[in-house]
Amino acid sequence: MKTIFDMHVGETGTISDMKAIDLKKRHRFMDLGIAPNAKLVLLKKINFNNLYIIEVDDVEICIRQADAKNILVQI
Amino acid sequence: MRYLLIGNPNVGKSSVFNLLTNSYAHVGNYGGITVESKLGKFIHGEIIDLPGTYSVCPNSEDEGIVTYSLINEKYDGLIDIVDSTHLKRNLHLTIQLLELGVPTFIVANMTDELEYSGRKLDISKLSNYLKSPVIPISAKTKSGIEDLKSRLSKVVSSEALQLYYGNIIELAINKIMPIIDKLHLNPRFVAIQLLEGNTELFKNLEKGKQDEVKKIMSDTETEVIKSGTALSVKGAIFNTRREFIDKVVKESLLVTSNKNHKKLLNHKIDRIVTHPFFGLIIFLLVMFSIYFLTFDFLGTILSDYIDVFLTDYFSPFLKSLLLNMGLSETGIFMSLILDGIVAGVGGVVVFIPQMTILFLILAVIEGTGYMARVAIMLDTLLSKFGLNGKSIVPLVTGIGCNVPAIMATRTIADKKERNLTILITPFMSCSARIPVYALLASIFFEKHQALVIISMYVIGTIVALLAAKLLSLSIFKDKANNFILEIPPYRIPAFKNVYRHTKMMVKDFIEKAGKFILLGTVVLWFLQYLGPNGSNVNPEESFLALIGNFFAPLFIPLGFGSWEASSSLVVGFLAKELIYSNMIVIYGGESAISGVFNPVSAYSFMVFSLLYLPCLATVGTIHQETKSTKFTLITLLFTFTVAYIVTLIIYNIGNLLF
Ligand SMILES: Nc1nc2c(ncn2[C@@H]2O[C@H](COP(=O)(O)OP(=O)(O)OP(=O)(O)O)[C@@H](O)[C@H]2O)c(=O)[nH]1
Ligand SMILES: [Mg+2]
Repeated sequence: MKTIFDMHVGETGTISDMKAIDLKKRHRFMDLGIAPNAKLVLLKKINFNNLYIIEVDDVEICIRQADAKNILVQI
Repeated sequence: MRYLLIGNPNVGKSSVFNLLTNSYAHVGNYGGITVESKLGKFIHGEIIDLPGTYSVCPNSEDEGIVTYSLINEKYDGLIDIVDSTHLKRNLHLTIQLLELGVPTFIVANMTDELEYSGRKLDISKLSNYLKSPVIPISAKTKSGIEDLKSRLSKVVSSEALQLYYGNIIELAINKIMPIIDKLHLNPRFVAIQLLEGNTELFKNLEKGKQDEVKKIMSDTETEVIKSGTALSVKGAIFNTRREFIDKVVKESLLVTSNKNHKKLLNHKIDRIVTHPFFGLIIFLLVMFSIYFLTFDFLGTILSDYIDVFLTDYFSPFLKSLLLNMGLSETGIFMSLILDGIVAGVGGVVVFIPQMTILFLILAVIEGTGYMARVAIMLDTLLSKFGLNGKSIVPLVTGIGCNVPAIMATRTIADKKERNLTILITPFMSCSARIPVYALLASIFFEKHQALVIISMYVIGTIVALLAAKLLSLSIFKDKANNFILEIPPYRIPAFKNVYRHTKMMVKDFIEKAGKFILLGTVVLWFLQYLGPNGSNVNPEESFLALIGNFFAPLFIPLGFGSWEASSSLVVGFLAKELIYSNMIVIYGGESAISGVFNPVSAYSFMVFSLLYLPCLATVGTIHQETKSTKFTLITLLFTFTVAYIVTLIIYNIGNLLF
């Protein structure tokens, strides 16, 4: 299973699972559109791969590496 | 008519508010500019501008205000602003509002950007799906604004939108509805919100009902997880809405061209701006040019003009005027007006150009979207100090004024992380501290004025970061440390917004100078004119000296144990500008000051003025925001202690070196 952390820049995927993220944070992510079944593109890794910029529903969102490791994706 | 203005962050709510009403709300290009509600009047009644929110279920203080207003405010309808370039994400909130069943105007903003990106909305289809009026506008080009205005003259009552959330959840909704029927809101809406975990609504229930609802919530949660449809009830609700939205958007968003030039340009700029090396260089250059323009170049030149005007023309003119009116040259009124008011207030007024430039630059930067990039770039660094990238917004705002900076922390979702940011924000050197820096720097560091003043900002920032580190290792040890940020596209700041924001900030400053500083200066003058033994006393025997002498011993180890210095610090607590006014009033000019301080003690005094206590207005804001007297007192104690220790170190090192 791949996570956002393992994706290549420019790759597109569909979120399959986020159970590893605690509930409160998961709901916060959901409000921004980051939820299971959402399509995403990894746009860029920055700050020496500490941050991941993804695009979900046409919106660019920046998340931390720790969270990227906890979001499973289906390529 | 009374409307609430609701929508996701950064969709242009305040821009629309400014176009519709006679009031002005601050506009900037990143989510979280508006953090409190603001009422404005328009031809058909009133509109309330609210902070942006992603959901009716609040996640942070500013979002809580939206939920609170929806529940408790009186209104005839809602104006839901959606960013038409981010329709899919925005409609999640729209659906929640439509479920409430209140007359709602859906305003599709940013149509200029939508067209530019080669897309177009089918308004009638969208309107049919959502069963509510949809009005396309652009707050930038003002297209559609007149139409919107006239449509707002009356509300069309609408039926609540109903989505089918699947067996398990529908069952739960039906169980909750009878329990909560006494609330004045649509019961189905309330039930759905409670299932999503809306704490604000939950708080409104009686204790017994809370337990009932809680039970249903946890049962439903287990069932949803067991059925495997989603990871939580909220997730299941979200999925249903997303399916609906996907269908709506697919039908009503027409793609006319596939090339999105703006997006490509954005990515190109970002490649440089968020580059680990060039990005940092750009950030430092931006910061440096703020200081350069404000203190070294434009601002100082203009300030000097005012200063020359005041001392060479205005003062002598006023003096001869007063003499002609029959006041005696050595009389009390002459001294009060010239040495007190003109010197004390005028001295602060001199800084208006510098402040104007500072606020102007900050407003331009806010308008471009650069702040979001700075937040990203500095997140990794700030996380090492227990903060996150978003803390940069209050910290940079604090350079202008600490009060809005403390308010800006409302967007930080975690309470402890927010309190931590509040606690360190006063270390950021606000514009009111500029006068005393400029005064002492010009006397003692004539050749390196700009450098000395910049060093104040550097010291303030370093102390703020180290304090954050210290606190996050101790009192705030178990706080969450999260970061998730929506990145806005770059935009060119609208001239009008920059102008109005700067004007408002400068007006505030002038009003403060006209009332508070004026009053303070007059009181100060009397305090140094009167003493226990009568009037026109030797300053050493005045009431002011009495107050100053009481605190003075405390400051001997820091190099400025005189009653003049300590009384300045005491009054500086009321407003930091008064430190300057007090010194001018007591010492009666720069030459006297050069006799009492030396460069090392002057520098220590500047550092101490920078750090020692937030001003009264800031303390009031901290109390209002944290609703805790204890926390406010801790802030005072903490900042004072830190200031004392830091100044002590600097003074002693300075004495060793020079
Ligand atoms: N191109 C374009 N830009 C717009 C339009 N409306 C607003 N903006 C810009 O979008 C940004 C956000 O505007 P605001 O009015 O501050 O948005 P808001 O919804 O009040 O934001 P928050 O208070 O932070 O939630 C600003 O840079 C505006 O200049 C529009 O119709 N077209
Ligand atoms: Mg706003």
